[in-house]
Amino acid sequence: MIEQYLLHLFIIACVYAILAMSLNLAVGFTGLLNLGHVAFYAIGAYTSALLAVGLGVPFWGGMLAGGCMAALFGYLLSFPTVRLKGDYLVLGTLGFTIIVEAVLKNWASLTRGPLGIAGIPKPRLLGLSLSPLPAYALLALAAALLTYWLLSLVVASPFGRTLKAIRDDEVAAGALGKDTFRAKAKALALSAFLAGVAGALYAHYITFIDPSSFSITETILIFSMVLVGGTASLLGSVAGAALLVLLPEPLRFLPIPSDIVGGMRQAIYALLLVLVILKRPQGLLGEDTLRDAWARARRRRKGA
Amino acid sequence: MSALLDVRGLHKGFGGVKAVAGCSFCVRERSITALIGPNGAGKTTVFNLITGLIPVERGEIAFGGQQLHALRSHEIFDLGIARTFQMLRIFPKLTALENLMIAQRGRAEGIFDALLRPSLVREEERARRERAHECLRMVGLEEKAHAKAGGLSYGQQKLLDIARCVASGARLILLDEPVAGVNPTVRERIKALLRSLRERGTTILVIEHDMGFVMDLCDEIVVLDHGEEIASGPPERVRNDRRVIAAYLGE
Ligand SMILES: Nc1ncnc2c1ncn2[C@@H]1O[C@H](COP(=O)(O)OP(=O)(O)O)[C@@H](O)[C@H]1O
Ligand SMILES: [Mg+2]
Repeated sequence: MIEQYLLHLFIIACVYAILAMSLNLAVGFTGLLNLGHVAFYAIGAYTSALLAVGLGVPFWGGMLAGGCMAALFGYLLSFPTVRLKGDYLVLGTLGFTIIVEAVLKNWASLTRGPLGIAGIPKPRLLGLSLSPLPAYALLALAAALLTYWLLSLVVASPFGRTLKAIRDDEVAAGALGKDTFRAKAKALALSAFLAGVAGALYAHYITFIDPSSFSITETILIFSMVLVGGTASLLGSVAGAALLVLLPEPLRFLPIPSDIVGGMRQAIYALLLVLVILKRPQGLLGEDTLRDAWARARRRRKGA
Repeated sequence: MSALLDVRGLHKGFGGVKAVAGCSFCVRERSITALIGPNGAGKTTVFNLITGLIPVERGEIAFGGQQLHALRSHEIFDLGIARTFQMLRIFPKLTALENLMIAQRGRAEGIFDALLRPSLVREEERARRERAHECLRMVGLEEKAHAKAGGLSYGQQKLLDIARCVASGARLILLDEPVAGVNPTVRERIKALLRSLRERGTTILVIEHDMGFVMDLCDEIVVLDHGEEIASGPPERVRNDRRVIAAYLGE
């Protein structure tokens, strides 16, 4: 029983780790204050769930389709928003979240509105069902590791350096030959793709989704994970996700009426966020990736 | 005497302010040309127009015979024009070395190139790193290679900004007040650097208020006043021009 519970938390933490790392690509590495991440998460989850329930498309195809659909929306969203700066970008992406939420609630013939989609099948691999929790936990872990690997490759590449330059000074990056609109559009698309994959991973695990799983508070939660862990740090995002998933769990075991547990969760997140902002503004793991730290350590050893 | 940069009848207004009003001048290939004039004469705006930061209202800018009209700033960079900014615009969270690596174009700069063409990326990165080190040596910032640029002193950041243009390999470099606020040692170092760049065939257009620096270094001077060029030519001639003296001393 306790084992099941821990595996469940592990799976949820993996999903959020993917969400936080991919959001960090936009927020921490590129400097795009994107409050629309949960919309990409929802698009991935709904695409994959509808394909599976309606057309019997297997999980793997649905996951890919969910990621691609989210990426497409990320790319399209970039056109009006990458030209915007700071506050306007925040408003633009927030507006996008609200639109997607409204569509999920009201386009009932497609999304079944507030009733949600039930009976989303668990994935199968090579004829084996991945429905036992340990198997699904391995799948979630693999997805999180792949995300980490892919993103650390991207942020350490010349393209990643371009993103950081755009974050530091967009005008200068343009004057030094970087097509800043295109780079931001690509970063947003990749970020959205990974959020879409996380959505599919979540939908096929929980087997039931409705619009309330993708509300604006989810956006704030994912954003908090990035800030707590540290912007421009992939490991930080993993740590932030794990921390924010685990921290409110003890509430379950306290004799508190269930209707105020939700409020207390929010309070804990808020408290943690304030604490981090005051005590450690760069986040738990600063802005360094493991690779940066390693490179520095190696240089120090060589005495160069 | 071929002109690398040819500016003709340039106009730019901001609301009611005519920042640039029919300015025309040439920059000869392999020269150091100064763009001088009182504060607010429109010098920085001319740079912003050349580099595509703001759209041209009227007039033409030709670089090596090609019109720059309607190109975006990264496309203008790709043609071979790099610049510095009056207000420093280095990348503070990148290291000094990375600041110079970013200015060098390559073929493998796509989002998945590190995955799909790792050997090409590695090869290009090695070449960039070498060139970046070389340029840092040129400006004497070698030991700061791995320091975050944001932590460097003002003078060091000025040097880094110029080194970034050099690293880009641009044919034409635009410098907006490169020696403003730096100490005499750094100023002499910049002067020597610009001379050696000219030797190697780079063309330089520099905005500067320090007349000693300008007279000592430049082959040609263009004087701007109220957005219009009022004199141009070699230093001796411009120095004795009546309109220039009037503009500087106030009419
Ligand atoms: N982006 C802008 N918006 C409004 N006015 C501007 C802008 N840039 C420059 N100006 C105005 O244009 C004029 C010329 O400015 P500038 O080109 O910076 O002069 P200089 O570099 O010769 O000192 C000034 O009056 C300045 O206030
Ligand atoms: Mg100026």
